[in-house]
Amino acid sequence: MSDFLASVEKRAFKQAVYAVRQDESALDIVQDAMLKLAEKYADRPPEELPMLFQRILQNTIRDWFRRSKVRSTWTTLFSSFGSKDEDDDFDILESIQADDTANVPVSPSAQLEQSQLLKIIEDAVERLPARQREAFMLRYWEELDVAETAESMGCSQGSVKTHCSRAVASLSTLLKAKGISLQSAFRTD
Amino acid sequence: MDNKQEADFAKKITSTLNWGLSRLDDDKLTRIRASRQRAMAVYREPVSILGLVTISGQTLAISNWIRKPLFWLPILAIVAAVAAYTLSSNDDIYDETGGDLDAQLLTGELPINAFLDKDFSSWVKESSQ
Repeated sequence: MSDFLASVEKRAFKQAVYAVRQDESALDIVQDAMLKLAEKYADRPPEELPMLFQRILQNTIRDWFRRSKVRSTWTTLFSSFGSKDEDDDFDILESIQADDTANVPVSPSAQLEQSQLLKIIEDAVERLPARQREAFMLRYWEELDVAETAESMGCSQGSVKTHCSRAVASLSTLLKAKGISLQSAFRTD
Repeated sequence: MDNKQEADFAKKITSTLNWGLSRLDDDKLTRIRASRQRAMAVYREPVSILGLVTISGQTLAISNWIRKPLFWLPILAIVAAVAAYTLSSNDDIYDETGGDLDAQLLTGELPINAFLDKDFSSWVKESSQ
């Protein structure tokens, strides 16, 4: 259990940050998710832990939004947790400000260039609709298969594929708009 | 974009995100590690019984707790008190009923064997009619 948590804790934190955009809240969410897994699912076989943990993490993030709603933090709620219709009609280009596209990262060193690229990608990931981001993160960052992702998200496998495709298309559009070449800019290690 | 292109693109994105994990602040890493330690503090290793059933550590923790003498002590005290009360109540009933019978036997003119004689009982009934 400890090894498993150690292997996912940083990604879990970043996932929570992309969703709630507050480091403190993200740290609390990760802690809650870890406690729930350790307390209630200790008897589950190790191969089930990734999917279970992701389901707990996503539910904890949703709980955070519900509590935020009660506290009337509508701004955060609308920007990150739109309705299904909003997800379907989302166009990442609409969310890009004009000055962002003019600011193509020009780096004095590879380190700086990578940091700038990371910042751009993280901003783009944050701007994805919640369900698209969730599907992309689970499927490609956590490397769950389509069935596990669907179970974790509580939706059909078809919906997972749709969300993933839209997430990739949105990210691709954003990076192209920023003048980033997919072939040369990325580290592949 | 087909599935392979999508997967390749996603891999490049996640590679960059993974690189970013190595740049997390020490403060946040410390807090994440502390969260894991808190989680492990409540974690109980699952226990397999005869290789057939796996019981969660929490359940086992409860059963271990039940095995402690302090858990059973108040229950035993209550059971003992109820048993003692019941016995003393039975004694009272015996005192009330058995005592009267003894007195009647001792103070009566008839010998005890007369009460055990069936013919005597029937004779008493017939004579009373």
